[in-house]
Amino acid sequence: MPTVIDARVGRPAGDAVRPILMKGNEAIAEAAIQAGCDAYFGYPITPQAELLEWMARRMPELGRVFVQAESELGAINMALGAAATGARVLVSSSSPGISLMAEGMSYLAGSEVPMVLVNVMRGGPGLGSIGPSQSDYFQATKGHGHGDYRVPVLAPSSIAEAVELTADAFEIAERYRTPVIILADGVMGQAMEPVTPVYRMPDRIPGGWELSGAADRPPRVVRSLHLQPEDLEAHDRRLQAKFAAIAEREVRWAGESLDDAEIVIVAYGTAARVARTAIERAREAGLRAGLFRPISLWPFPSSRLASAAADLRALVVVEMSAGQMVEDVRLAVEGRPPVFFHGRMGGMVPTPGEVVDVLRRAWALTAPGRPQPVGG
Amino acid sequence: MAILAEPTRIMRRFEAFRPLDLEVDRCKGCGLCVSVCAPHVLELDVGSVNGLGYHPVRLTDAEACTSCALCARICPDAVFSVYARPRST
Amino acid sequence: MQTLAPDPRRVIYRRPDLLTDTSTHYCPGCGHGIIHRLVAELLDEMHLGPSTIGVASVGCSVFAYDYLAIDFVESPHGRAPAVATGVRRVRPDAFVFTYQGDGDLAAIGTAEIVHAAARGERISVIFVNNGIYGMTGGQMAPTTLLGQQTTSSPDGRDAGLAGYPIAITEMLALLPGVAYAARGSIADPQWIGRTKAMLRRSFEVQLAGAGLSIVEILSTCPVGWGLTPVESMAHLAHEVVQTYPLGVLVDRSKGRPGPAES
Repeated sequence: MPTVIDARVGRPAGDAVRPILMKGNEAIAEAAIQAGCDAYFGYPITPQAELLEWMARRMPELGRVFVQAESELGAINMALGAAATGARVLVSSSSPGISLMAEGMSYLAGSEVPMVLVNVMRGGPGLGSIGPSQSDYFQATKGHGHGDYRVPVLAPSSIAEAVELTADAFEIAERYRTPVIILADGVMGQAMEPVTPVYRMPDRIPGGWELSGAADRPPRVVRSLHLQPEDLEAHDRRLQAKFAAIAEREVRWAGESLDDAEIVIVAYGTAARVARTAIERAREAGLRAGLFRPISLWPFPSSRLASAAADLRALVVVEMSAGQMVEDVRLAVEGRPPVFFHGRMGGMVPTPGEVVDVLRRAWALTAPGRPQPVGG
Repeated sequence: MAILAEPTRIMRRFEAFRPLDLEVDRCKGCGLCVSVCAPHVLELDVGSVNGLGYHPVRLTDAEACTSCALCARICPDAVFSVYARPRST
Repeated sequence: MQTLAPDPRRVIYRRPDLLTDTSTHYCPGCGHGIIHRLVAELLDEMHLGPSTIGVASVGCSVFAYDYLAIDFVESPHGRAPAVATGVRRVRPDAFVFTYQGDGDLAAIGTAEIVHAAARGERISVIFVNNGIYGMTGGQMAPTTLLGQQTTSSPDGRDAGLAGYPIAITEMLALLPGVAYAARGSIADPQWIGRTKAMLRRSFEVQLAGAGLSIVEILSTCPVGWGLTPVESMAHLAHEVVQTYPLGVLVDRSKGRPGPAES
């Protein structure tokens, strides 16, 4: 581990900076630090313990707050307290620990307190495995805890992208007063890739709600309890309007080789990288494949996907799960074109060879003149 | 004469000393003050009902009140303000 | 124009400034009203109002933020010591307290209070023990007395089925991070006065940076107990104290240095 990080914030473009090899967990931690993270609360869990350990060393060095909590439950609640005073807060964990944070996330959303949560996904359910997975998609995008709320979810597919999205996550969190999830997986957390250490620190804009002691102003309360049904409905309507604004403005996705593609893979995170190799091989064999890569899983790029898919022969969804994002894909395209799925579970990562096989099968099953399948 | 210019001050001089101010609309008729009052000068006024729906506390004998403030100490609703009896002039 | 002359009466007691005008939702004779008043009096007297961030918890006192005119954050059930830890760590100059009931602190929140205490967080914990879950209709609490009837122990608490009342403050007092632990009561004006002194000490311990302080306050729930407010006070004074003795459990704050400058 390098003892000094040569981090340049806001360096002008074009100024040459040598990339350094960084482990994903540590790169995300440093990106958060450079984005102005004031406090980190966490608990050790594989495969993200290195993020906590990086913070344990760096935060005290910088005079900022680090606490290893008694549990993930403790950590998310410490985050609620700290972020309620306007501090920029990061929490990280992996799937079983994230489950413990469901209550806290619901309270953060209901109280409109911004913070960033990193989930380095592992195999589940239950204690599962420590291998990588994407089986927390439902948990992250369908609300996580109880009540009517949404949480923006950003899914990097490389460590360099994770660094960028960390700064974006703080910005989105504070712009809309919401928790934000960065959904990574065990491969990304543990792998080492070149990272150009140029970081971004989003501006801070006080919102007039932060707790600091009621000196020379009326007292403020950060809470989610609205006991009268009419009051809670009004509050919920305001939250829903906020989510609608996020859905309009914060959709992110990337496309590769889509211009002439006839069959497109929809994948995110590490699965998208496997898909990229599969597409290269498929094209070498004459099959025109492309990649549609959602980067915001919520808001899901439904209309962009629907337009990109309009004239395709098939979509193939690849996930490291039993199939979770595939449901949102099917909803987005509403039956046309047919949607095929390939997934591995339990910590297994699909191979490019497997994905190429699925592309071929989808191609064969959707040949003109054949009865069109609904999907497989 | 100063009387016309300062009627309120004159009125205070001849007014009986009030050892307690009672915010009766906060009272919930719990009776704790009655139970701790040593000279027994507090009672719940069963003849009236306040805005909250309770029989509020009433001071029955201002002269016998010693301003000990035990009522104020035990009141869960901060109904009482207590004042010291002026020394006799 | 006629002006009123100032009130010439010498004030022995007046309503604290930090209590809002809102009439509380607490039942007649509920101890929360007395304890809120003590907190307001102390924050006024010690001039802490402008720097206080309170952490409200879940129970009858969830609306504490409507009754005390200070900044407040609402915490999920049991999590107040963790939420307070977050507040305290990023706001070293704030005055931070939690206000928790027996379910909040001694049931669902046991891990959070133990670890905040173990870490010696510089917060003041106000623990209101009335031996019952008032807000949800009078169920058994970890602090319910043996033989006590509640809606979830209709035949009286049986040690064989439900164990013994938990002396959580005695347990916490074992930890070096706890600079001050005491148990008071609101059973009569004398003990209310002594409890106020305990709370004052707890606040001073926080300001001195000596560690976590906790004041458990035996309180009443007349409606849950099925007693009048006056009977409830007697029950506190005679029965409850047999299980939960009053007094200072530990005071490690004397001679303890404050936190190192960061």
